[in-house]
Amino acid sequence: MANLNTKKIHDKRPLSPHLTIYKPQLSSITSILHRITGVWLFIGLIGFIWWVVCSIYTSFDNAIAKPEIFETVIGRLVLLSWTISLFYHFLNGIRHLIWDAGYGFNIKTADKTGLLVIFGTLVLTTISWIIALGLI
Amino acid sequence: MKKEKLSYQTNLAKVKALGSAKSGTHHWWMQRLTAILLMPLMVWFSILAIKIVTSTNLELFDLFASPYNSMGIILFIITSLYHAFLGIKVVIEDYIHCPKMKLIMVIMLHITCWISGIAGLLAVLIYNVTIFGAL
Repeated sequence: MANLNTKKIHDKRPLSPHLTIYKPQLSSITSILHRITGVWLFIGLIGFIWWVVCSIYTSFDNAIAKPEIFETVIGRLVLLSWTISLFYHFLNGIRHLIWDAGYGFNIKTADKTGLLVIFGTLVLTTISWIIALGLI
Repeated sequence: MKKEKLSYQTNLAKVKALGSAKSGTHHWWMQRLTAILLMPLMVWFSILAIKIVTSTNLELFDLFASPYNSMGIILFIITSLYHAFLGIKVVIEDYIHCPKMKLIMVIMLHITCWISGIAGLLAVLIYNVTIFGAL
């Protein structure tokens, strides 16, 4: 049976430009960020679940439950990127659910809620990290 | 008289298995439902994560022994894994064009989610049983 996807084999015809010419907008950026944060969250989620599994089976051994890697700068940056992704995906997800319910799906309102999501993400990340670092 | 089912698909489209996959609406609704369920679970998980980070490993024993926390972790693992599975499945289907690779990656996604989910549930369950037996 012939390959259903013949595009790669036969199609050398040019595509018109898209990402290279389209002006980035709040709508498109928030949308692709939702997907990117989702993928990153998935990877972190699998990591978190295996942290739970390994910690439990080693009786919360210090080396496993409190790995040194999260004390390093790079480790903390990775954690920070995951928490930013968490709060962004959470808030933007609520924005999506509001759209699904039928409200606010016009350019003006969507732009306002988009800015709210970004602002909220920064606020929530800052608050949670301040509490987690014990600065409060 | 045999009544023929009305279909607008051409014969070629039928043979190539084009058209709807029939489970799209279910996927869409499950994604939204898990999202709604994850709203309170997310708040709970954020608090748990802060507690995990700020407690010593001796305090972690008690944190995971609490039945409320265990319930929360199990509900969180199941719901977030299902939500993530639905999401990543769509991402794979969007960006992988080769049908063989698409199938392989979706199956690998299934395996990853199932193994991680069962491992997580089993660990929390065994921990609770052990703690309960030690009481």
